[in-house]
Amino acid sequence: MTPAAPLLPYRRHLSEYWRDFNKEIVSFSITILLVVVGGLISQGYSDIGYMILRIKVAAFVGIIGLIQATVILSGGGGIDVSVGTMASLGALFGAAIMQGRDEMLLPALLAIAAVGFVLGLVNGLMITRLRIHPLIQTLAMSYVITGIIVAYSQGRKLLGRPSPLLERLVNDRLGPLFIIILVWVALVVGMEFLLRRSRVLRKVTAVGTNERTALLCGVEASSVRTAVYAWSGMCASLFGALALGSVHTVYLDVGNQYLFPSVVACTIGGISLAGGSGSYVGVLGGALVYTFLQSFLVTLNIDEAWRKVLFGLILVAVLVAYSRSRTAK
Amino acid sequence: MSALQTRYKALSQSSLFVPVALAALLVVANIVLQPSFLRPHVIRSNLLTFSPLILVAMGQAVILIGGNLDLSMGFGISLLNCFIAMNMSVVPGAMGHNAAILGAGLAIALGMGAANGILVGMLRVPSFMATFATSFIWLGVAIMIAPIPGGAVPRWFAQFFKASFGPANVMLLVVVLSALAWYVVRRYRLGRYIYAIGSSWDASYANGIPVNRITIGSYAVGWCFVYLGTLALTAQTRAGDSAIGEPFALNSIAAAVIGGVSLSGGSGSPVGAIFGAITLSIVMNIIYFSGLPTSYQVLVRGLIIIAALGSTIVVRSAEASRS
Repeated sequence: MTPAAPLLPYRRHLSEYWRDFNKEIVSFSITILLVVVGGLISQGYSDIGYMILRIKVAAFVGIIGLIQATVILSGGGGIDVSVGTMASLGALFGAAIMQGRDEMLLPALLAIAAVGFVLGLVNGLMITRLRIHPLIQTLAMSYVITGIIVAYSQGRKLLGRPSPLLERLVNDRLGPLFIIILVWVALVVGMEFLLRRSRVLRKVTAVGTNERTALLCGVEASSVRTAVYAWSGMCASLFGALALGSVHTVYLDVGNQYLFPSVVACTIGGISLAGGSGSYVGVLGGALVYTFLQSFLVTLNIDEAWRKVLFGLILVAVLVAYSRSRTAK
Repeated sequence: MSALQTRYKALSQSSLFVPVALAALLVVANIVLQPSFLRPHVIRSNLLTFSPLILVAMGQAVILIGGNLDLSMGFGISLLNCFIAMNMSVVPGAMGHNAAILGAGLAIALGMGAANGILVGMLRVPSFMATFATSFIWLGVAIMIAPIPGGAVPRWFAQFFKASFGPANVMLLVVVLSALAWYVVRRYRLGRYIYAIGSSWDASYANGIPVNRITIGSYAVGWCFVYLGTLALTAQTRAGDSAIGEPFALNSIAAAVIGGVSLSGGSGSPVGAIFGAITLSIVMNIIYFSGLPTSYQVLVRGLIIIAALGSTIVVRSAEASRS
């Protein structure tokens, strides 16, 4: 392949920025609005220290959102609902291998990356070769992983702790900000760059936009998607290590809580469910909206059941809005 | 037309062949492993345990045939189960009240089905995402109704589903009548159109089939089965629990697929799903009786569902390439 010819330089009109970035702009505006309204209702809500803590929570949602976004971008109804249990598995095995020792951090990460990769590869092969719907396959996989976790733990008290280095990476600050927040922003910027410039992620969006056109350009959808699911499994498992760093004692479903937010962050952030379009910066905005809205509802003393209903309704509303906006298709 | 009809008949018979054979094979395997399997009381108790999945899988099959799927059935069952168990009265003379609650339950089930149907059919949200989103709404409402497991159903309600009229067990009757009801629906426009939109949405649209209404109709019919399944489930557990429905979402899809219903829509039948559900349930039965440590059973069950999803699709594509 020869490198693509650079686009002709020309001045972009302001409306084009709105057209290209409206979802990012909307999600960041909602976050700011929440901060202002929350601050009016409760003094502590827009306190800067509290806000940084909340962004730390958003970092976790945002990082797993990046994984989910890549799967959705690859199209074909792509979604990976096994990321939650995959993260639990990674955290559990990670803790068992680390046992609170720094020298075991690297072996632990390699081991859980391998496990996640293999399980993700199974997902990918089942989806692309046997044409099982991604949602059904990954749901079934999450049951299998739960089975592995139950079989592994055997109802014993779980042993194992994260390594101190990992805990420091997650919980320490660099200046006023947490290291994990900086890691998150770096990941978003890096992946956004790759999405626009690298061949690998361009293949993913090409396949997601139009399978036939991609095939005619020499990019085969099924192999790209298989790779995406394998990568997703690996990253979700590694994400489990991060989740492990934030809790000091490991428990069986430590990662499960991240599945729903990962999907919400993507849909609010403007990743099209049809695949192919969306940006990682949008997912960052989606993660912020999710986390700030969540804590906003907590500030209003709205209990867990009502929050579930509200987030379900919001997800439905966003889905309807986006499916309306592409009726021309 | 008659040539078309006979061909269609032959096709539908062949789509039932694999699931029936598979179910028969597993029944034999179960008899070998558990010789008491054929005793009347064992058959009755098995029917009772299998019936919720059978009915829910039939409902899932109707929606799958229409070219969509419904992941919210699991937590929808939780919601209905909590609603019925928390609101039915165990006071002897409360027949009117209980009848009203059961009627309201059916209305809620149809409401959930209609909501999904409107999202998928009229607002064109992909069914997997729409029902993934609504499942969290159902779960939230279920937790609101029953924050902790509890409630109770009257004795007659539980007894009714266990009763037998001669050789005919009530549960068997419910399943058979549901199957017959489907055959009636299929003879009318709604049934034929559900197959039509499932096999080709574009062609159906171009031919003036009211695709929006038929999609909503397929969800409504599907959720009638879900409601019956929840009644059967609640009669067994006799309590409300917001976590009870969760496994049904995936199990019903797996059962329908084993029963010869295609995930891409337009083929198979809810009657096939009955045999798929029996197959899946007997496999779970065998795992239970095999003496496998409980901690491994979850894993084996998951693996079997994946294997079932994979193998039926392999078998079907092999058949397709042969013909």
